[in-house]
Parts: sequence; structure tokens; C-alpha cells
Amino acid sequence: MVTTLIGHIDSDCFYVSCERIRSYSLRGVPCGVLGNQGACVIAKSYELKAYGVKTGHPIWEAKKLCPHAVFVKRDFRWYEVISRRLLDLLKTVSPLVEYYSIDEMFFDASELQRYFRLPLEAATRALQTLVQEQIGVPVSIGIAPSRSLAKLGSDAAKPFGIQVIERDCERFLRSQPVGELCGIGSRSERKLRDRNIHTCWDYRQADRLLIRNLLTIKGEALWWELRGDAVNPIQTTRPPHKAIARGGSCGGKTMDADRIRAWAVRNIERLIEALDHHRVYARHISLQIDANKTALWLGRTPLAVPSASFRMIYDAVMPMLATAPTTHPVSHMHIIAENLTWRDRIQKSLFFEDAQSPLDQIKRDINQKLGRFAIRSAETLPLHEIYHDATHNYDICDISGKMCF
Amino acid sequence: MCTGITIAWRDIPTRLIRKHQLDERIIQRSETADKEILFMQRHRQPLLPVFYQGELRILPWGNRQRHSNAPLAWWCEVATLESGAWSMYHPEPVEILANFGLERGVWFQIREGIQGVLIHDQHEQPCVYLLLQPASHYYQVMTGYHREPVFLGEQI
Repeated sequence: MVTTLIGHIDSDCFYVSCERIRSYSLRGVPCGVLGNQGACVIAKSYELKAYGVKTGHPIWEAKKLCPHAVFVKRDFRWYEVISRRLLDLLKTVSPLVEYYSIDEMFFDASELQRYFRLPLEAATRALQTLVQEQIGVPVSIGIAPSRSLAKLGSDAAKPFGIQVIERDCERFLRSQPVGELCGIGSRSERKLRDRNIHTCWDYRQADRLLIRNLLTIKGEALWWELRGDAVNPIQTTRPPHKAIARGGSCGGKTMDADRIRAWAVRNIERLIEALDHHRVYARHISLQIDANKTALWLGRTPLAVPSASFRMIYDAVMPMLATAPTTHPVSHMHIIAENLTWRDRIQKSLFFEDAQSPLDQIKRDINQKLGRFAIRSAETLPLHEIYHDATHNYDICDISGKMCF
Repeated sequence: MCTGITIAWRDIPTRLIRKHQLDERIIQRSETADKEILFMQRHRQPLLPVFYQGELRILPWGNRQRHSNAPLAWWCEVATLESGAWSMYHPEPVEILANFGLERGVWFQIREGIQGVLIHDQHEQPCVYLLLQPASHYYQVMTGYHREPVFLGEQI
């Protein structure tokens, strides 16, 4: 469906705003939300930001910068509840909504004036007020002929602002550095700077073929979007994954072979959970091991048949793990399922076991009934800190249906 | 252990604020934040807001008077309480009201409150002690301390 106006709604300091919904005492307080280990700030209020605290700062630095700040334990399940409430509310106002991320959504804004019976700017303000009253989260909204312009508008309007951008928006685009554009990273920004392209207006005025040569077809799409031509449509359903990965921190650096093996098995179990959720099988399995977030080793193994079987993935991962270098302590690990195929579109094999064994199905059924990891491999027992401490659960912000991450 | 707590100023009745001169302990974290009343262990008269016998009271936090026979402490370990070592004091469970707690310079949120223990000394003077337990991994990383209060309705 072609839309003439696209809206972008972006929650202001979303995790903190969610905490403020249920804790009145946090309002106005410099507040930081801490990550899974309790060590790093993963979200901050504007009050805390004013003291120079940044996302990713360890708590011991953050408390020095703002000694009276309050820190809150993350609760991703609560944030998902609020995110879905926001999505549902937006669906009542707009005929098309894209669930872009936990705190950002694109929507068809062409019906906004008719819904609120107000001019566009006033209708946008009315939507902002509606969200604040019904959900309790402050949001910034950008309205524009294309999604890149809409996102640029909402980012520029933060916090708690609105920005309606016309097709001819020279003044606005001149005020926006090109690095603010979603899709322009630091490398692309450097390339553009070398061509004397500093602002979004310079980008829009640049030669289309030059942009295409510099930044490929994606850069050209941005060029069209900045001119107000919507080339990236609103997507209401998530396209199939190309790959699914599970992993992350190993809870500190370790060279202990049993613990590394235990993390690998836990990540395999998490990966199978995700493959079950998305109803896909993997044809290839990759293992990535990091030391201090620098890739230390990467292995890739094809599976004999598309599978989500614990045994098959385990048999693929363990030989890769055995050949990985043991000279550096491991800090992070990822297991990646690639070359995915829908479960209802595979040819069964005469020579190999089914894509999932009865044991896999029993394990899944029990865990769905009794909770995640109620039944798990005994090889994960060395991770005693996870299983003996209810607070140390490596909670994952993993919401189905959203477009990014 | 938790060395300070705060509670929203509006949650404490005016009569208690006047009676215990809590006005002196009011803090505000920012211009737009609510006023809070600070209860610190280092205060000259350490106090705690406590629900006891169906009403909110402001009671002494622990004991530092040598002439009192109450334990000279601020807290009581769950394990100590369960061992029966305090049974001679006839300890009663109480709920300590708190919005935020302070541990080693880190202020953290408390959703419902903290479990406490109340005893009376030989002069029938009440003393409230925080109940402590071994810290969870999360709490230990967050504050750098190996013991945490027993929180009501949550585990940090």
C-alpha cells in the first residue's frame, strides 16, 4: 500500500519511562537502568544524561558522575508489555504500523488528521498526548513524506517534541549533519565528508550517481527518501530471518574448558528455543568466540539435513569448539544458525534422524509448561551462578515481530 | 549493609514529620523530583519508618547505647535469627518502608520495602534492625557488597 505520509514515533528514554509508569517516585530523578549483570548502564534518563553518564558506562563511573542517581534493575518483560501497549494504541490510530523496535514504530500518518479532526500538526500533538495519557510514556513524533525524513524529524524533536516535515524542507535538512541519518555510519560519513557533503541538505543536493557509487543502492535509496520519495515502505510483518544467533557474555573471562563448554551448550539450548519460535530449521551452524569483544575464532559447519535437533547442533558445535585456540580467555560466545528453511517446506530424509527427536519435543513441552531451562543439559551445571541465583538469569530482550535487531 | 534509605515526603504524615523533626532530613534529587526524607545510619539519631502494629511509626534504627541490653548493631542476619540467638529478645517481624536504598555509594530502587526485626530492650524501648541475607550476584555486582537486605516481594 502506498502512503503519502509516514510517521515515526520514538519513545524518550524508553526503559526509564517504563519504570516511571509503575514507580512514581522515579519521576524527575536522575535514573539509570542496569544490564543483566548489574554492572553497566543500559538506559538513562535525561536528568542522568545531563551529568555526562552514557549508555554502557559502568556503575562505578556513573555513581561518581552523579552520586545521587538511582539505579534500577532491568525488567525486559515489563518493557515488552509497554511496547506492545504502544503498538496496539498506534494500530487504532493508523491503518499500517511497522513494529520497528521495542521503542520505535513507523506508521501510516495519512489518516491522522481525519482521526483527530485536526490539522496535521495539531493531530500529531494530539497523538503524542494520547500516548502520554494512555500508556504513560513520553514520545517524540516525526511526520514526513518518507520514513527516513520521519525518523530524522523525531530524532531532532527529542525529547517530547513533534516535527512535521514538508517535502521541501531545506532549512531543516541544512540543520541536520549527515551522520544523523539512519544508515549512515562513521565510515560512510567519512566518505561523504571527503566529497564535501556535511549536511542532509548537501546529501540531497549531491549527484545521485555519485551517491550510488559511494554508498551503493542503500545510499541511493536514502537520497530518494531525503527528496520526499518514499522508497522504503512500511512493513507490517517481519521478513524471514537470514540467520538467528544466540550468545553473548560468558559472565567474565574464562579459560576453564568446562565452563566454556557449558556456555556453548546453554547457547545451543537458547538457539533451539528461537528456532522453535520462528518455525525454522538451520542448514549451517557457526560458532564465534570472542576475547574482549574481538573475534578470536570463527567456525562454520553444514548440517547433514536441515535441523533444530539438540544432538545434531551439539555434534556440529563441539568439534568446532575443540579446535578453537585456547591461548586467550574467552569473554563472549555466539552460536549462529544460518541458511534457514521453513519447517513445513523440507523434504524428510530416509537416512538421517528427524529434524527434531522425541526428546527435543518433550524437553520443549516441559520447559514451556514449567519455565525456561526447567529441563536442561547436565553439561551446563558448571554455570552454577545462573542456576543457583534467581537474579542472575541473563534475561534477554528478545521480542518477536519487531523489525530490527 | 544498606546504610541509608529514603521515603517519599508525601508518604509520611505531617504529625510524624513534626514529632521527629524530619524536616531537617528532606532532600530532593532534582527540581522536578519529589521530596524525600532521608534516614541514614550515620545520623545522630538513626531512625527508620516502620509499619508496626498496623500503623506507620518512626522508630530507632538499631542500638548504639551501651546501657541498653539490645544488641549493639544495625542489622540482624537471617541465619542468626533462624539459629534462635535472638530469641531472648522476642523479635517481631516489621516492614520498613523505603523507596530507595543506599549501599556503598549506590542508590537503588526498592519496590515495596525491607523486612526488619523489632525488639524491646529492658526499658521497653523499641529498636528496629534490618534483616540481612547473602547478596545475590546482581546486588553484589551493583553495589560491591556481599550482603543485602531482605526485600519485600522482590529479589534484587
